[in-house]
Amino acid sequence: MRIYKPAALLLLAALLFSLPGCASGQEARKGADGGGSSVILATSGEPYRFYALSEEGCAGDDNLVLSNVYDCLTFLEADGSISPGLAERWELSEDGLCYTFHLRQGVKFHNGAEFTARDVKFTFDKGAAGPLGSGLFVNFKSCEIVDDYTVNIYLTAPYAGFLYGVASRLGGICSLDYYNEVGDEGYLEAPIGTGPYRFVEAVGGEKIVLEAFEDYWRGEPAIDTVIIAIVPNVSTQMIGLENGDYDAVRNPPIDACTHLEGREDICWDYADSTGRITLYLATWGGRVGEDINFRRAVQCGINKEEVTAGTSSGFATILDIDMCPMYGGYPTEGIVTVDYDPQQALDYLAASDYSGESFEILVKSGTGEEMAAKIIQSQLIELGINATVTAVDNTTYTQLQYSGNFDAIIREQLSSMVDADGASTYFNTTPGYAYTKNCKYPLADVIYPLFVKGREVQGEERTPYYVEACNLITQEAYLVPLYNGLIAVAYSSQLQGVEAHCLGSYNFYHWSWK
Amino acid sequence: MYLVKYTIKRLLMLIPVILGVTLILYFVLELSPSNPALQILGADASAEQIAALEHEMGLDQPIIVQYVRYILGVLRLDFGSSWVSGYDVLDTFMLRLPDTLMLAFTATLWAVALGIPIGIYAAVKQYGVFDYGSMVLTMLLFSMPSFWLAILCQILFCLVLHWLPATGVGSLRHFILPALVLGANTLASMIRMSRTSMLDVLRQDYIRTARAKGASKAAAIVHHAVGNSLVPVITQIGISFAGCIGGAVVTESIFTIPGLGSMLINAVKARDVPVVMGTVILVAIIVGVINLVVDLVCAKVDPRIDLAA
Repeated sequence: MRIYKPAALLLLAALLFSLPGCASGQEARKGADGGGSSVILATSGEPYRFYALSEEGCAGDDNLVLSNVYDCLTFLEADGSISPGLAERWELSEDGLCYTFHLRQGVKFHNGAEFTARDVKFTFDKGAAGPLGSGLFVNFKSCEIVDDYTVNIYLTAPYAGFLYGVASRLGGICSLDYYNEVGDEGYLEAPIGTGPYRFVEAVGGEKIVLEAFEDYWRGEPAIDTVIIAIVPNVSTQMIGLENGDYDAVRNPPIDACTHLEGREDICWDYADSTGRITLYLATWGGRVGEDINFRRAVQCGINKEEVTAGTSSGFATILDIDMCPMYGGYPTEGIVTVDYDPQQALDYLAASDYSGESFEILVKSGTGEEMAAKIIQSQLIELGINATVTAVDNTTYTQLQYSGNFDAIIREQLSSMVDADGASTYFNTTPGYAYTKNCKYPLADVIYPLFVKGREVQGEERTPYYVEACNLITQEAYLVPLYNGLIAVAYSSQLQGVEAHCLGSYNFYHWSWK
Repeated sequence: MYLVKYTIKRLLMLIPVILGVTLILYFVLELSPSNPALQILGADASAEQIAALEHEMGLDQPIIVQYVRYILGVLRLDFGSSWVSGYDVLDTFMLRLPDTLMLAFTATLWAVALGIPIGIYAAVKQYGVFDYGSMVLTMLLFSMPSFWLAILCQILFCLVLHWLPATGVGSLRHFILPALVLGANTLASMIRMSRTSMLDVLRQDYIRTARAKGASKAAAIVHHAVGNSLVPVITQIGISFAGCIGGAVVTESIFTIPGLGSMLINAVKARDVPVVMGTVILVAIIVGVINLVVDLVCAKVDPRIDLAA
């Protein structure tokens, strides 16, 4: 007993003395104590797959790692523009069927091997055959090695948005020699690219660690180690940031960011994402949306300003058509728009056969879209439409949207393809296409060919096709474009070079401590 | 010898329990609308690619065949791999188990260390200020939602006082707040249980006899009452510890502890059947074993419990 009492007191004293001043490790992470510098980024979406060429492919959250471990021939910049990456320059043949890429010399993979045209051919051939190929390497036919630093990529038909696919997660160049050595499994476990950071480890549900690549072709990154912490809870992310546990938070809600106004130690940034948030109305299966007057009533009965005020404190850009303004081929003139007009909506409703049936809006639960759905619900109820909101988890949502079993659905389309062609998804008439197998719009056979024509030409020539397609969609009131998605980042004001990227990924290469 | 027999009997009884749990869970998960192959490959995958992956995963087989295959795999300690991340379920479980055990242990430890003395003292001072105070405390602890308490603690100890890290794991300090929050409910149970039990014992004839034979009140309490009052409390400790292992979902989520609770909730959200099944089976085994240990300890400390019977 005599021994226990002092020991317990000592333990208590040690604990108490260890408490004050233990919270923030940010000073140490700046490398001020002579150690290497590091940053901790908190994210709720967990990246899992760090090799896009596997049979399972990879998802949007994986971009966070992939965009820093791999380089593409072209880069997608934060504002959605394309810039040279591993290709110094490129040309497109007159018939639009062949891209010639001139590759950088002296670029190394993380294992020290030289990057050449063989690696490009390997990446494109394997990527095109995989599950992401048809969506990201659209119309890819073959890749031909001209010499060690030149490749020709041939297309089956012209595709104006092809460079976005080249800059996507699937376009991250993998090493052919390394693949031959380790195979798919080995590449998944220990991926290598030519990017500014090499992959160190991933601890499921906890963290992913990246380390600066000292031989990076643009020079060694300023931050030595990047730790991506998996933090599912948003309020925990923000408390962790304020407490100095994290240095940056990936894509926090705008509301959480606005609460940071006036703080000197934390700042935030936002940008338009590549995603558009749109309400699609079902015109099939005997649903209430088969009546065009009902659809038009919904179309002009939604007050989009109120929706954006509720979902993003008014920061989001309101959309007139189902395309983001940053999309390649976005039509700026000749577009028919529909303004909020409750009286007109009532007239349309009176002219319709609507007799009080339930109008179910399907949405993913716990998202900004759910908030949008609830605001729209209240607006439609005011018009006399018996609107209901069905908020379901992600998996159920995915299944239901393919089944077509809804009256209306709010979708957020965050796409690597920053191109007007993205708006064709729900009008695609290709047999067996997952999105339209059970959700076919009556005029899809007229609308989709316009998108096809729009993708086959370049520059201004595309506009007339998209204008016609969008105006047709608007006149038929198949959908109500709501607002452009937002991507935010909150970070310590001691960090510099941080900016919100339209795809929600970050280029850690530009980050440094002040 | 009877102890070994009893242990084996109890362990064997776990088998039908686990089979029942897995059977219900497997069929409920199968009823939910999802296509794992489509989920993994995405909407851009072709019908052939989806069919090939379904075949590879055995999803084109009848559900009963899938279930039997799964159980046969479990018997070989093959719990499959996550449909979402591709990680091996058993490896992930073992990786996350220590954090959950640590959290459950620290939560139970502080709750027991504080709850039993408070409960006993409240019983000894029944209807006194301390007794009423402890009752108010237990009511508060029972009624406070854990997420609310967690956020309050984060604001106070992290943002205001800057004493503790708000999230993550890595050192003992990281576990102080989560343990405080997770153990709050257990603390209330401990206070209530030990108070009730102590009051019951204090009214027993043998306490009165001890006092009549000249033992002081303190001696009667320390030597005769405390030990006897702890038997039901020990059972409660076991139940609470098991509850902490399976029920730390909210705490783990708010404090970003990569434990079993957050693993399970993420898997349920993503309809990741192998992870849900594997986690439930392994947690059920752990809880079953903990209950067995509690029963054995109770039998050891309370001679009235006859395991042989």
